This record gives sequence, structure tokens and C-alpha cells, in this order.
Amino acid sequence: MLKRHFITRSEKETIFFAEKMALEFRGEEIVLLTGGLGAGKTVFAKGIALGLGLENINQVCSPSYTILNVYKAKYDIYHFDFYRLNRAETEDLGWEDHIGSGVILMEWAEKINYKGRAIRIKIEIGEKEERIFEIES
Amino acid sequence: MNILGIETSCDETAASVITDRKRVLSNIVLSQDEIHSPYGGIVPELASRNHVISINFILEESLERAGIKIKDIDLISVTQGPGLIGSLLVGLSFAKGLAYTLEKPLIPVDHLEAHIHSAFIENEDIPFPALVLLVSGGHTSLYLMRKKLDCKVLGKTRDDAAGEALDKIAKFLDIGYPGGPLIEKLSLGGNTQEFDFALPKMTDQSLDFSFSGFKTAALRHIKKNNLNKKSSRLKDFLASFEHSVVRALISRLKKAASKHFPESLILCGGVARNKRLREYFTELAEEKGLHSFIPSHEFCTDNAAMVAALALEKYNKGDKGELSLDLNAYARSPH
Repeated sequence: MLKRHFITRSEKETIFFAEKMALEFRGEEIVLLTGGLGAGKTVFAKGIALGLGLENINQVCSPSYTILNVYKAKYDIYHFDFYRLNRAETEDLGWEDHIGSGVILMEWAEKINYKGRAIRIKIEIGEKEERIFEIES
Repeated sequence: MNILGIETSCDETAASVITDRKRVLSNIVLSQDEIHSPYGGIVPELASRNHVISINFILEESLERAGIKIKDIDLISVTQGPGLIGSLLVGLSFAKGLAYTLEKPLIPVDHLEAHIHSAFIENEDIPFPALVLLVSGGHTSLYLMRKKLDCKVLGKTRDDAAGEALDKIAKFLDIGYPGGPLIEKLSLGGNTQEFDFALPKMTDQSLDFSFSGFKTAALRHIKKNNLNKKSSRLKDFLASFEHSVVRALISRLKKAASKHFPESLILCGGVARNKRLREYFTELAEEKGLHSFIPSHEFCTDNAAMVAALALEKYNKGDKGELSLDLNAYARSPH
């Protein structure tokens, strides 16, 4: 398991960082995002969508309310958010059905217990606008 | 003619009967707030299960209050989306079953369009064009309305909805759920200038909204000042936070007004019950010399009268509904 760290200093840098990461995606990646309120998970998701060629990343917004947003880019993007769910509910939801049919982005992934292959990203808030990323893939 | 409306897009189970003269005979809403409040938010699976349990009772209650029998219903309408897919399916399947059994037309409506239309339940003649600000737990959008049923999106949120930002901060501070009304109550009399929240800058000319910056700023204030639900400064903090969220909403509306020259301003959606928002909204309308309309509380929150009213409007414009059973619930709005 490869673990690395990265620091960004603005939302713009976070988007750029995620975009670059997504350029190498092959369409079946699972990105599990963890980190507290306001850490920048949705911003990171916008960057991934940009890297996957989504034209208008303004449509990438928090799925806290809807649980799942789907965007059509180079690959289908399944943007989940488990903020409001408890563990039993995430098990009932069936998000795994989407594995293999597109890129899966998941916010509040601490609510699931998925052992399979995935890119795990932990975001922490640093000083000022700084965000510290720990990436495990 | 009696129109039945059914609404189950989120956690409210609602049914309403209105007449073709737009008289609201009944408007029954069962909120699951109490069921969900220990969780600090809506629990989707719980929500759909509870809709199944309560929908029959809610229908019967709405018929009884209206003083009619089920056979007196002439038209059935139901929310098709957007919302939680499981919850939507409960209402939709129920409505389809009713329409099929009673052999009455079924008109599906969009939840957001129904909220917009809620302003017309109490006001038949709203001067057009109108700018509509729709604010709820899950949605924050701005529309230009040239005539009834004709809405164009001018802007919407790029991250969190306004109500969502309020809910999330309330949950973080362990104040309770739903966050909006609790923040309103606890911030009463607080100083709105005590904590600074910068308005989000949009680099383009768009009328979109953004609330994630406020959320981050709020967390920074909480951390820096060690705020919790027992702090003496909580009142000022919540007042400043609520003031900033409302100011951001109104500033977009103001910008849209100087661009599109409307005759009227409409405020709707669950957050339209917020006192501060109503106040700033009315001030803006007075300042610009425009007509302003805000539905009564019972039509702001998710309800089925707005669903029936919109279906009636569509019916009068020639939409005869459908009896085919291939309607599908959808989670995201096409708007």
C-alpha cells in the first residue's frame, strides 16, 4: 500500500491537484474521501470531475441532501455523500452496484467499511486555507 | 372539481384537496422531524418506511377534513421529483394505484416548480415578469418567471444549499435538528456584526450561490473562540451566521433585479419561513419599488396543496394527465 502526502494552499490548488490525479483514471476508480465538515471534499470532487472532462463543474454540488449525484463525463461519475446516513443504512443502500460502471466518488466514506481496492484520501484542515491530503492507493 | 395532491419527496408525508377555484379544502402534513431529530438530519431509509406507514392515514385525514369521499376526487397529482428516490417512489406508487383504481387522470409535477407555484395559491394575479428565490434544506435557486408555468433558472448553488449550511452548523454545535428554526430561535437579539463572514466572490457574472465558504468560516470562528452550545457568545455567533447567509441570498436577488427588471419578487421554499429572510426580502422589494409575495407558512414548507395547485394549472392549460403506469421517480431536477 502506497501512502503519500500533499498540501494545497487554496481551493484552486485543490481543484488542480484533483484534476491532475483524475487525468490518469481509467474509468473504474473508487475514491473514498474522509475529513470533517468544511475540509473540502466537494471541492476535491469538482477537481476530479474536471479531470474527467466534465464541462461545467458548477453542477458538482454537495449530495448531502440527495445522497447521490450522477454526472456524465468521459466516464459516468457517481458522486455519493453519506453525511446523513448511519452504518446500517450505508449497508442497505447498494452503492457497490455501481462499481465497474464508472468512477465512484464518496464523501463521508468513514461511514462505510469497504476493504476492496480504492483510492483513500483523508483531508485535514491546516493553517489558514491550507489542506493536508493523505493519499493511500 | 376536486384535485388531490400527494407529496412525499423528502421527510414530509402530505396530502391536500383543493377545488378548481383554488380553495384549499384540506392541507395535511405529517412531518418526521421528531423521528429524525436524534440523528441530526433526515435518515432516508427511515423516511421511506415512514411514508409507507403514514400515507394511507394522511389521505383519509385530508378527505375527511375536506368533507368529501374518495369518489369525489376528479384529478390526482403527485410529486415526481427531485428528492430522495425511495421517498418519491412511495408517493408515486400510491398515486398511480389510486388513479388506476378510480380511473382518474394523474398529473406528475416537479417539486421545485410546485414550490414556485405555491405563491399563486393565495395570489392569483402576480405581475410578471417575476424573480423567484427558492430556498429550502436541499435547494437554493433563482428563477425568472415570464408567465405562469414558464420558469428559467438564473442561478443555483454550486455547493451546499442555504438550509443545508444552517443544518450542518447546527449539527456541529449539537444544537439539534432541523437547524434553521433552532438557529433563528437561539440567535434572537444577537449582534449580527460580532463575527465576520465575507460574502463569496464569484469571478464570473453568474447569479449562482455558494455557501461552503460560510461553513468553513463558521468552523474557524467556532474553533478560534471555543464556541459550544453553552457559550455566552453563541447568540451573537448564530445571529452573525444567519445574517450572512440571508445577506448572501438577498444580494443575489438584488443583482438579478437590476439585470432583469422584474415587476415582482417571490420568496418560497421551507427557509422562506425564516423571519430575517422575510424581513430583508421585504426591505429589498420596498427599496426597488416592486410587488413582493411570500406564501403563508403552511405553503412554504413541503406540502401537497402546492402540488395540487400546480397540477390544476397544468390541467387548465391542456395537460390531461396520463393513466399509463410508466412514470418514474427521478432524484435530480431537470431544471
